[in-house]
Amino acid sequence: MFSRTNVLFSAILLSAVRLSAQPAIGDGMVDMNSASMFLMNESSGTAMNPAAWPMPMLMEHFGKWNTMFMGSAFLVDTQQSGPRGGDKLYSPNWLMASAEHRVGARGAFETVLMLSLEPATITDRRYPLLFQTGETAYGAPLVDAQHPHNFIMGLGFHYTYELSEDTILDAYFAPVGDPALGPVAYPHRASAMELPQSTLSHHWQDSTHIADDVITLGISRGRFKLEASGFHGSEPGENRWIVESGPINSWSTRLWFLPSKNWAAQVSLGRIAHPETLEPGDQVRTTASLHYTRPLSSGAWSSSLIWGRIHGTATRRDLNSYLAESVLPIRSKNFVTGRFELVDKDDLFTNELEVEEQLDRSYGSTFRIGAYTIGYTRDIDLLRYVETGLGVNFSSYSLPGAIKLYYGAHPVAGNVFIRFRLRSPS
Amino acid sequence: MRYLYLCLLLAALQVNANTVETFTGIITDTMCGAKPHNMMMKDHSESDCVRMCVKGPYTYALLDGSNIIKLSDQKTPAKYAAQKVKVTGTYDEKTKMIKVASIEPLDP
Repeated sequence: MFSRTNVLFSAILLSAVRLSAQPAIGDGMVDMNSASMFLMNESSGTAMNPAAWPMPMLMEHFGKWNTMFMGSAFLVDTQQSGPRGGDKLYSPNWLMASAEHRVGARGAFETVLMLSLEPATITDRRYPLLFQTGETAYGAPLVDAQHPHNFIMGLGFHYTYELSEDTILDAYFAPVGDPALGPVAYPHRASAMELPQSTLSHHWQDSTHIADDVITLGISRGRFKLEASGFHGSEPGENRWIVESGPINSWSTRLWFLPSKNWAAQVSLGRIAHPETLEPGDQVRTTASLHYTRPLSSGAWSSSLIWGRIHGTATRRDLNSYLAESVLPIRSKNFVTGRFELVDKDDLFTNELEVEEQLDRSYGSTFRIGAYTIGYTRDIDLLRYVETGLGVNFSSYSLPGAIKLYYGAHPVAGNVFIRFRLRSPS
Repeated sequence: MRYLYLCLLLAALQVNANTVETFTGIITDTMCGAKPHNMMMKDHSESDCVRMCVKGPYTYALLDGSNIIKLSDQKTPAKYAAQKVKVTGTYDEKTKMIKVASIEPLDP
């Protein structure tokens, strides 16, 4: 395991040294073709935000390599009410670097590396998030808490080839990557850019954005893109600093419909082999989503509607999640954002077996939770290449009466944060 | 009544402030801007490069000297990508964009 990690680090380091050894010869991108442009519009893995979204990034070329750097970091203080609420200062963050090179007249190659320091900046293997579930910390399932992301969030290699004027083949291999399942994951989603905390439906919709040993093949023709993936289904382990590996035991398929630059829609289906370490069985996940971006003089207004359903082969339960999310820039420096979710949770009491059994007898196993978040961010000009903002958001929740004893009748949460995001100075 | 006249006068002045102007330049995109298109796509024509760039988050614009001015009309410029044109419209200082009334090709 460690030897493989060392090899990966060596490869990354050598790439970085090679890139830095070549001086830049000017701004902008060079030597591109249709296949290169196709790669530029992909986000996490092979997922896509609407093409009209001006992805905040730095672009530079080194010789004939086009590079792009994207990054975001939040320093968040969270305060939550009720018997199960928590308080914490933590920092979610990620940095993505990609290097693209044309291959012949019709092909393009790209390597993508995404890193996060969350294993260090989210202490105790979690941050408090009421009603959040999924993955483990210190051998126990996380409840009312969100896990940090891995140090290596992504390491992938793309090859695209233009078959004809409107047909492009896309091949993607990633030791750590994002298979063709679900919408663009929330850290990279245009409509979620001003919300530092995870979605409650993360493990219903987009949690496979960090999967091991991903292979994806896709074909894009006109307004449609069809993809299929194989990958290792287990969620990341608790040692977030290493790259894990496993057999390709899960699959997914996704169809995108991109009617215009402003719209992106997808439906996807996947079978994930034994995703949760402490839960038996596989998971069948179905998602559908619609995303819209409208460029304005003040920025880009982006919105998403997402549905995700998981079927547990062991529990035989179907659990649904619904999400609506939007961010609206006002006069360039102000962002108003909101996220509304409804999620069916059956693992809120998984660490309290007696309570779980008692609730199961009197109420049932599944609780529909509503989370309603509104937020505001104000940009402050501090750094040329970093969009810096001060923000706040507030969440209230709806929950069945049966569990109000454990959460309080009206649980609420608030976050105050500083946001840093790489941007082009122009 | 006096207030009504005053309001009408102010409205007329406001309309007059956004006068219709004529701009000449080359249809480009907001990615390449004034940079040479053959640097970005050397195997393609300049018009191919412009049309390719606007498939992403970038838009058609007018290269007027060294100024890149955004255009409200994003359909008509497709016909004249990388060509010299005359754009008639009103320039909005706030949005840095020409509200396009018409675009006509100019002889090379």
